[in-house]
Amino acid sequence: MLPSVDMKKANNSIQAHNELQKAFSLGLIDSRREVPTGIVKSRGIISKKRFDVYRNNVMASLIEALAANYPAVQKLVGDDYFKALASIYIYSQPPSQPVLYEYGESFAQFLASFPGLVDFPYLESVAKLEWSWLSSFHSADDRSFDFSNEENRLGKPIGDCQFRPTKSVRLICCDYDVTGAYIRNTSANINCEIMRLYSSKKDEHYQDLAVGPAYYLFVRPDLSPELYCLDMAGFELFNELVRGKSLNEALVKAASKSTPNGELDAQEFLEKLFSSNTLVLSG
Amino acid sequence: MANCIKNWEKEQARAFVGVGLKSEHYNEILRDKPSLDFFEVHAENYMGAGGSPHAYLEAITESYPLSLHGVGLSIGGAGKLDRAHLQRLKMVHDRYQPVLFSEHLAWSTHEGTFFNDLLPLPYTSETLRRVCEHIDEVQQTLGRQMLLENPSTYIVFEQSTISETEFLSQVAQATGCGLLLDVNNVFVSCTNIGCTPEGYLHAFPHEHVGEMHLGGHAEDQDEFGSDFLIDAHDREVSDPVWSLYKLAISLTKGAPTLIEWDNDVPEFTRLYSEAEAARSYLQAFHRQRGNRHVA
Repeated sequence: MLPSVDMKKANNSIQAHNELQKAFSLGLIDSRREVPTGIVKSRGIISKKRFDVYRNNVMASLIEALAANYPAVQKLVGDDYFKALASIYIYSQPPSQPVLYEYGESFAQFLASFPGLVDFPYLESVAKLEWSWLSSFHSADDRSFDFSNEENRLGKPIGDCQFRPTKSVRLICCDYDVTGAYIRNTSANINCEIMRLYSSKKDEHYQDLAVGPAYYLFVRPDLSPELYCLDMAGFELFNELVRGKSLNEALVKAASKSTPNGELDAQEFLEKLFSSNTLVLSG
Repeated sequence: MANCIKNWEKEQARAFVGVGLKSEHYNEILRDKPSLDFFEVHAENYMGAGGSPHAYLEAITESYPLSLHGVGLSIGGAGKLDRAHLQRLKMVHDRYQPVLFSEHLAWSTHEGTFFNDLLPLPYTSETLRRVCEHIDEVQQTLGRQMLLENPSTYIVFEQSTISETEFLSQVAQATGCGLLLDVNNVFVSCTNIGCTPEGYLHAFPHEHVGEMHLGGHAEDQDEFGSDFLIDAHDREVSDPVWSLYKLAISLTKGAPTLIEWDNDVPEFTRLYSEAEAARSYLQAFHRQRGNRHVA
């Protein structure tokens, strides 16, 4: 049972509570502000340094959260620069909810538009990969199509079947090929493979840092997301599957929409596709 | 898991000791099965849809009871609770069916911004009412009793009209919630605001305590040259806090105790030895109590 209350008085008081928290909140994110009225060390004595404990906790913990989500960006720009960068981002786009591995979705866009990083345009691509890895890491568990055991039960040629990507699949198109820079600097141990519908000799190694576009796919076969470097045709093939096209239709569409580079090698691509836990039979 | 809960309820009279579960220790725990009575996790770390966090937590809760500790509900907030977040909490709660669920007498969200810290509130009849409304909503949503933790603080509000212990007592009476007594927070707050920790503990409504926390704190000095403490969770429990813990054990009749170590996470053995120290204090209390009953 709650104590009985005069509602008019209570509403005024709730407003006062709200105003006090508003003043406290503004003081947390803007260190130039005075300590809010009524907040003291002991009667009548205001201690800025004690209020600063809250300010520091908020900023330091949010910078740490952003660094945990973007370890490669942090390493590439350096700790001090990252702290300054993160502070500006946090100030302009603070988290709106408490699950912090979901905080920072717009960080890649922020990096792309940050004037101080105009000479490092590839950072946006690195951040896009980091966000996709995180999202794949926490995605729902999902079981892919087991080609070796289930092919006989399809009831129709596999090319006529529809597939959807498993829930951990993330498709990313980047302006830069940052595969090497990303893998070397991220804190996760990432297995990376090349999976191209059109393969050529010069495609056998991934780039360290090059002007793109570059196409990627993350998938989590078990607990750790794996990275595949796709060609444009392979990327389009996935997009067509997502749109509900059969495998054959998707292959034809993907080939027609992309600029082939090298020899078509659908057989090898499909073998990799079905052994990489990326697809679920959907029709 | 079901057996774990059964034993937990049956055996409250013995020393129950746990530690905060850290991802750095997952494999070691699963390999060595350390002799601990429960693990505690921050609920927000397990709100993702799937993957590694859940795989490990599922495996660990096969062998250990779980205590779920929320850090983001903002129970002391002036605004309404975030319903979407509360629903995510319910999903974690229902999936793992923890033996304990706790949250803080603090706020962390205001007008849609989450500050990721446990922020203090003034203690008045109005904030009391707001906190009670929020706890009612949490308990109704989860369908269980929750424990409310006393905060650590670095400042006081001149607006306050009720003491913290009286506030907690009235919250427990009005809502039926239990309390989580964080002994380190008592020491930190009392040092910072100039009251005696023993006096605070005696005034604390200990009959409602369902769990205790122990952790480490850091020392600092303000601009007036006064020492003050920061609730850092980054080191061993200090000697004065162990002394205070002995008093807390006798007042709470040996409530289950958790060691928190969230920053600069140490090797598991170092964390475990803190838990063993807590266990030895609890066992000494239960032995003495048993002897008294026999006599």
